[in-house]
Amino acid sequence: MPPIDEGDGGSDGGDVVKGEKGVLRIRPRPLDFHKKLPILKSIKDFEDDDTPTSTRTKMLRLVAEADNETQVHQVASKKTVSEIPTPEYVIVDTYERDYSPTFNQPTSYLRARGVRAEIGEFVEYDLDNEDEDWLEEFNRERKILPAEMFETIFFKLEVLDHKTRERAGVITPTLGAPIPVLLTFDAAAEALQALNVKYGVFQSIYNYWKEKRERWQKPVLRRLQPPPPVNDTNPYNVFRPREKAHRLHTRRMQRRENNVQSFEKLRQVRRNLEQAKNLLDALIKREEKKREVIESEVTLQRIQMKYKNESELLEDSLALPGLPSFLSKFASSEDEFVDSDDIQHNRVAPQPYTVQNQALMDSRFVMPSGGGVKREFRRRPLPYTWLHKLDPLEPVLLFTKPLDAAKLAAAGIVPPTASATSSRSYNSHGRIGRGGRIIFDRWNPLMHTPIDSGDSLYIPPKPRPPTHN
Amino acid sequence: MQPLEVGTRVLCRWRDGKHHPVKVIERRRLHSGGPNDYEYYVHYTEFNRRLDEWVRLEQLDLDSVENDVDEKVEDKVTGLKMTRHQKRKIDETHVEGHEELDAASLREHEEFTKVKNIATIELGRYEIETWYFSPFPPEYNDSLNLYFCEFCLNFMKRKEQLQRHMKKCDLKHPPGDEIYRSGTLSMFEVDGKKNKVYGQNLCYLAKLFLDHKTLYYDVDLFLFYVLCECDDRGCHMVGYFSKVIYLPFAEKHSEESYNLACILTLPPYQRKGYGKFLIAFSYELSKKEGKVGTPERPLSDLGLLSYRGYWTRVLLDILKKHKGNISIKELSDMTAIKAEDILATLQALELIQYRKGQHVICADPKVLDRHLKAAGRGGLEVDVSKLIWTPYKEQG
Repeated sequence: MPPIDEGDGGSDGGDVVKGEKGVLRIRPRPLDFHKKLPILKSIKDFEDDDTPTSTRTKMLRLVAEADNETQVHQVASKKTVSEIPTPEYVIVDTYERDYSPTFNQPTSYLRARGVRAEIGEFVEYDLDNEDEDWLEEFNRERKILPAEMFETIFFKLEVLDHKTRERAGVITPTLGAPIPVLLTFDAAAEALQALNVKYGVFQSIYNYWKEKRERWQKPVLRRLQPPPPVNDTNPYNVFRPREKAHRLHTRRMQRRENNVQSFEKLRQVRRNLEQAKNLLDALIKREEKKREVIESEVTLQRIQMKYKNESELLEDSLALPGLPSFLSKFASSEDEFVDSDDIQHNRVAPQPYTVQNQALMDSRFVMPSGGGVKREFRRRPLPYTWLHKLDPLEPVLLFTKPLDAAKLAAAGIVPPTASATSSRSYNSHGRIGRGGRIIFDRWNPLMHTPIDSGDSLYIPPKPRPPTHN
Repeated sequence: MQPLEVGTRVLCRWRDGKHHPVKVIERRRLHSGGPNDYEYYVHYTEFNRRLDEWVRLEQLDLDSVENDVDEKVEDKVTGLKMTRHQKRKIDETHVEGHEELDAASLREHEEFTKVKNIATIELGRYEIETWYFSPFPPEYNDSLNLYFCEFCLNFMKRKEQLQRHMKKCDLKHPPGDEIYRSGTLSMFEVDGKKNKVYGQNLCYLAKLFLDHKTLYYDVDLFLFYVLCECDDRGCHMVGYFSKVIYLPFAEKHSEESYNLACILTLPPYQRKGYGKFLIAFSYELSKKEGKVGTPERPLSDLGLLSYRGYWTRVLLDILKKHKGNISIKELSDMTAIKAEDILATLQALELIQYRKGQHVICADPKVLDRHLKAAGRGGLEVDVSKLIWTPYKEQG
């Protein structure tokens, strides 16, 4: 049965549709299997003013209140089991005699033995009508041949012939051409001499069997008969093998054998897996090294940023020959606002670093600011040789520098005060923001932090005595 | 008098003593009798084909032979104009439960299965009238009766052959693993690949009672779950169901896996709850596999009734107890019943309504009890604690 009608979603959770005979009704949306549906336990929950569904409500009420079964709930099927007649059966009177009560059920669950055809000596063949008739005729004057013996010999002839055909390599997977008898009388007689059957009797049996085989043109024992071919369209032929395409899926599992070929294959698989493992190990090492490199670079950048604030250290490096030319090139006008007084408060803890990093650090040098620092000149010991090397391409990190009050005044920039727009008084704190523009943040004098700093990327410098304007 | 032609419609006396309309499907001359003495294979048009049988002339009411006037009538349901014969064919199709086959396969199916070949079989304690044609090997076509060994299911044409067979056959139960035992009830799992002859025998036997079963392909991809009642004579088959082995790389859609191919309770054991047990068992296996399942279609008329009963009972029991709301998917996960089957069941019972912009489930206890009563008894219960089974793994 298809799910409830499709709907594109109307205004009220359904489409308004013109049904049969022009009646307008709401068509519900399709049911979503994953959606949780409320379970209404009472008929009263169904009371509604929707006209189209009121008849259904009435019906449900009828069903609930009826004492006797009514026609209402016969919706599933018109028939009940008792109305479907079936053919009959009777009890077999010889049953108790034919089936002996010799079954002892073990306490543990029964396990399948191997297929009896493959294990042992079970005679799979049962004499059919013409066999019995022939036997009756054969035994007419004297009971020479018991039925069980006849059956056994017949069965063994079939099996021997099958083996003979197997050895000759003529077994076909499906029934195509007539299947000949390849078992010779002599071979049969020799193989079955242990049965102690009289020569003449055996000969008669063999001839009868061979003649039957020639009539049937296929083995008599059903298990040995090849199935009809897949493309056989005769509906009376049954049990065709599945098509090759399907078998291919199962080929790997069904024909997995335990031989040299599969051992070699397994070896190869193992070699491949080991190579893959080595490859992946090397890959992991490479990626770890890459990560180390990046981590080192990050550490380096951090160190450089810290040291950048120590202009005195850099100043000292300026004393060395050959360097000033670099500095003046890249100094910008904004640098003048840098308050050199502040710099001396900045203490940069000397960072120990190992010699081997020197190579990495060579190429990354913070460009020191130029102009402003020249006014105050303090000698400081230079323990770090790398400060001497300056990279002219390194960007100037202006936002790390504090403002110079004197310069601000000189430029006519006045920090905001209480008189400006609002009645409250703010402390403000100035800094150089993005692109070198000057920004005044509202400042918390106690905590020495900005109040509601708008630029989340801005990390204020370390707290220090406020420099009010 | 002239013998009746194939296709004639006439009234025929049935086993209940009353006359019922039949159609002549086949005819053959009587062994003893004149050139015009025939017996007729008739189909009772009110009933399923399983009741088709050979009847004697004296059972037919010759006065009721219909004139072959094929006038035009209007079909009330569709409003189409057609001949009376065409209309009758359509109506009969609905009666017989062939709705799920398309017209072409139906015709083809009917053609080669139109006459039952085997009339009765002996299986263990019972001699049973057959229901349908079964494609036994051609050398068995001349026999009206077949005798089955009730344990290995080999079939023979004469009773003496069976008796001889019983002396050497040492099998006392189906040739598989016992995976369930509760009281006298046991379930055996038989691998069609390992026990090919048994599997084929079982299919030949089952086909006698199943109309739409096909034996086109071999049994090696099937598992047979054979239900038995056990006593001191052995484990006697009362019914079975078959299931296709799903290999991971052969499977196309895991959501659509069938947990049952064919299901049958043998006639002497019907209406005792075994069929419902088989259905419940198939779902217990699905739960253990962690997969949702559904039976292969088409279902027979009896099969559909049993399934509707099972689905109704399982789902309504949950709805009675469940607090809060629930989705179809949750019901499916709890029961291993496919969502579409759940929806169809609830819709057929009109328990799914559309209210105030959403679907709701009606679970008024009185309403549910009415439906549960109509669905019938639960059949024999599956005691899951007695199921010892792991999902099938193919061995090399």
